[in-house]
Amino acid sequence: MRITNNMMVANTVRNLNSNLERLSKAQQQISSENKISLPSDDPVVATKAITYRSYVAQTEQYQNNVESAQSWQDTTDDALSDLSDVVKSLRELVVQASSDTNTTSDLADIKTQVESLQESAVDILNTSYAGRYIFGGYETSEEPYSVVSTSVGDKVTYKGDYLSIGAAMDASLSDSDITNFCTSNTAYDSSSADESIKYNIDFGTSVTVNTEGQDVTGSGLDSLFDTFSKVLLGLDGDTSYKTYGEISGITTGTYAAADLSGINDDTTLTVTVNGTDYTIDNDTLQTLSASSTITDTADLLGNAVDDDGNKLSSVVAITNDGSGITMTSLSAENTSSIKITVEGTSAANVESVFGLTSDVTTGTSAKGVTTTTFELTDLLDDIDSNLNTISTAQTTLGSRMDYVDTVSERLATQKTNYKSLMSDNENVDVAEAYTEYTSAESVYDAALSVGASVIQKTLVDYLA
Amino acid sequence: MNSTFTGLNIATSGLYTATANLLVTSTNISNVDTEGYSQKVATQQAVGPAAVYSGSYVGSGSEVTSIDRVRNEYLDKKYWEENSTLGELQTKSDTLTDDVEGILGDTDDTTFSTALTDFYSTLETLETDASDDSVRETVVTGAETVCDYLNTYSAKLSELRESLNSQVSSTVDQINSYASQIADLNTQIRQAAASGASTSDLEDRRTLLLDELSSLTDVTVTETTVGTLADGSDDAVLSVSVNGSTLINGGTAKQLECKQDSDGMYQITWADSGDSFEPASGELKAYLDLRDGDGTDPDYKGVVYYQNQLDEYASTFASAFNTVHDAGYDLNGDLGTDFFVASDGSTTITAANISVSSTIENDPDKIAASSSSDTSESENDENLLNLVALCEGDTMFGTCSAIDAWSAIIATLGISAEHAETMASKQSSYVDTIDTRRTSVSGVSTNEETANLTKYQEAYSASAQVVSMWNSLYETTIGMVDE
Repeated sequence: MRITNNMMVANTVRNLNSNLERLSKAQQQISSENKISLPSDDPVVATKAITYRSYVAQTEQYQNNVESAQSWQDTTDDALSDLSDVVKSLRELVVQASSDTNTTSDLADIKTQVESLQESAVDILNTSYAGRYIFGGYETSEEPYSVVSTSVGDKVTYKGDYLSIGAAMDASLSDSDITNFCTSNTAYDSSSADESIKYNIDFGTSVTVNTEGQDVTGSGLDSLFDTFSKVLLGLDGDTSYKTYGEISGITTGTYAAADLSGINDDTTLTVTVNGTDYTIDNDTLQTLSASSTITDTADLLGNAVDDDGNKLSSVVAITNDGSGITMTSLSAENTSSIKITVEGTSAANVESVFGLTSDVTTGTSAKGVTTTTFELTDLLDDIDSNLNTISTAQTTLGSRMDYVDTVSERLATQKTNYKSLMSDNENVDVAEAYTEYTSAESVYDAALSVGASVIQKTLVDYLA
Repeated sequence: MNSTFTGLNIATSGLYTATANLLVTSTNISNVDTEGYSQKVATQQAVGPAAVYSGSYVGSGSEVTSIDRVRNEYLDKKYWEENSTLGELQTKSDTLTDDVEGILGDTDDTTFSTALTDFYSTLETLETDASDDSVRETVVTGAETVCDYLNTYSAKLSELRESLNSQVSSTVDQINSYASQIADLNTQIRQAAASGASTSDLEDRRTLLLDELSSLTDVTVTETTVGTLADGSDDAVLSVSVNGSTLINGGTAKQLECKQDSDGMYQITWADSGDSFEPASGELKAYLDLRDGDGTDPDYKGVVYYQNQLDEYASTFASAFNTVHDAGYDLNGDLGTDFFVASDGSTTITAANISVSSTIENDPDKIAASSSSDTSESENDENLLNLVALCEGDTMFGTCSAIDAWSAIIATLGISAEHAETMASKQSSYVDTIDTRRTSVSGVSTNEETANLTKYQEAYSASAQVVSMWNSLYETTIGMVDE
């Protein structure tokens, strides 16, 4: 091919340019320590870089959350230990007070100490961390616990509602006063949803950081403050106290049970009390007829038996007032429903006799005032169960704290891993880059010197 | 019998021929750096008989019959074809890497994906202290930054589109200018050929203009013979067509017009017929593809495609976030309102108008972190946890997270740009090869010309010697009769 000088020059310039490009790229990689400066340099590296960077940022954020969680939990743990100590001191005082050698002034002394212990307990439960009350569930802007004096004595409120509204009260108060107070004020409802404050501490992992007050003190008639009230009453010399609450189990509605007709061979009748079925066999059921009276039906029902042969009449009281039958469960505890179920082809008839429109019945429990006698030594069991509640709360908290610690270590490792992934992906190996740079430089040098010598010589130099 | 002074004539013709050759050589050497110059070659022929000797002829010297331009027409056509492809690819590559990647490029810490992860961090911090006003402020600021990035990207892409639009207009002007210049040269060449004058230099200039034009748009050059000239050579007319439509025919050049449509974008039409102008390749096509391409098959993924991607991104992000936010309650116990809104009041959120709702900006208490309307539950962060789960999980954009969706956009851009760069560089070396072959044929080689100088100088000296010899011969002859 015929070569002209201009072609040589153009060629040399072109090659020098491409060498310079290589040199410039190498130099840029060294000074920026990045393999790429634009996504088009290496799209795969670019997209992975975005992902890794976000992982690293998120891991760092999780580490921050872990620290906040740990601080909150540490504060809670300290508070629970302090509370535990308070209750243990209470126990000692009660032991001391139950000895026969105490004089009235000794008891008065002890009473003052118990009162101040109660104040300490309330203070501890009102601990705050960074301006938030830690035992208040979601309501962290106000103190959750406070002692208010009422017409029925000092009572403790939790988040505005009475913690143990029917708890031990002075036996000298009238029943009607107590009933009035308890029915016209709101009690704390322990069945409301959990108010757990959760922090995200890792990808897809969260932990509850708070402990709710009611899980520490209990609520209802067995709370810590109920115990305090009983102790204070006992130290006053009282031998009994009054409580307001359920005095019997559920009472069903009243069933009219006259004119039983339509019972045939496949009719079954079952009374379910708190999950246990009591049945009447079909022959006995068929003895009921149009001429039966309510009393017959009531007797019949009482003879319904469960699988073990226990009669229904042993767990419910069946009464009739001439126009209807009422069933009332005999135990005030553990009864949640009484249900009558009728099945069979004539079920509808029988149900209508019993006045049932559906076969589920839950009644309302009767409430009233109960007087209980006690001695100070009885209260030791109560105190122990309170201590148990606190220690259970502490154990739950402890296991959560361990979990957070484990995650914290894992996060540290994770962060290192992600950072090194990120670096492997994005950063150049400086040694490699420098080698590339020096080789590009030497190639450039060579091209320069060769190019220079080639484009200089022409025939003219030799003819002159 | 020949004439007495034939010998002198023969020798003299040799001198003239050598001089002519030297002239051509000098021209070549002085034009060695002229752009587009094709080397000239003198064609030398032996002149017809001067004397007859027993039926054999003795020639009467030499003469230079023509001075021709050395050019390979085939290579020229090939060059024009490939050059327009190069123009298109190079423009696309440059615009994608320098402009679009410059706007959206995401390879370090000062970019959109960092702003997004920072925003997520503020949400995570808020979940540890849902009632803290200063933390709520940071959430608002973080969100504002995210919106700012999207707004800026959108604005810059619109600016880029504007500048591509004006490039379209100026390229059309250039095409028009080249077309009329080429048409003028066509006329001049034809006239010169008809009058027998040399057309080499004019043709060189025309070829140069065609080189420039080919980079702007695809050209198909045809030379048709329409007759014969007085000296026997062909009367040729050159015509240039673009994608099947004639642009230049002999001395007439058609003009192109730019009209702005409702978006302000220039639409190109032929000035005489009003039909639209559709180039098949070249820089103009590249500008049009980049300006208008929305990526729907088989369209090119131009600026409009990336604008649409950004708009869709903003809209999906905002609506997914708003759905969860609106289900929660703020610190005042009110149901949450939209967190991201369109700043210009329109119903669809785009990358240009996405912004944080002003009610929330003015009162960060309105961030709906809680899951209940009970205002005493100041630490309730359940709705916030839902927001965080949405942002960091895999469902915000259908099957992937916001970061992944952004990654996908950058990946598409990076791959398109890389592809364009590779194609452009390959095409560039191919065009260089063709150009080298062209230069190989028509370029001036100083070595060759210098050698020729020596050759023709010697020829001249030789002829001069012959003249001298004939001179002394005539002297002798004349002296023979003079006594």
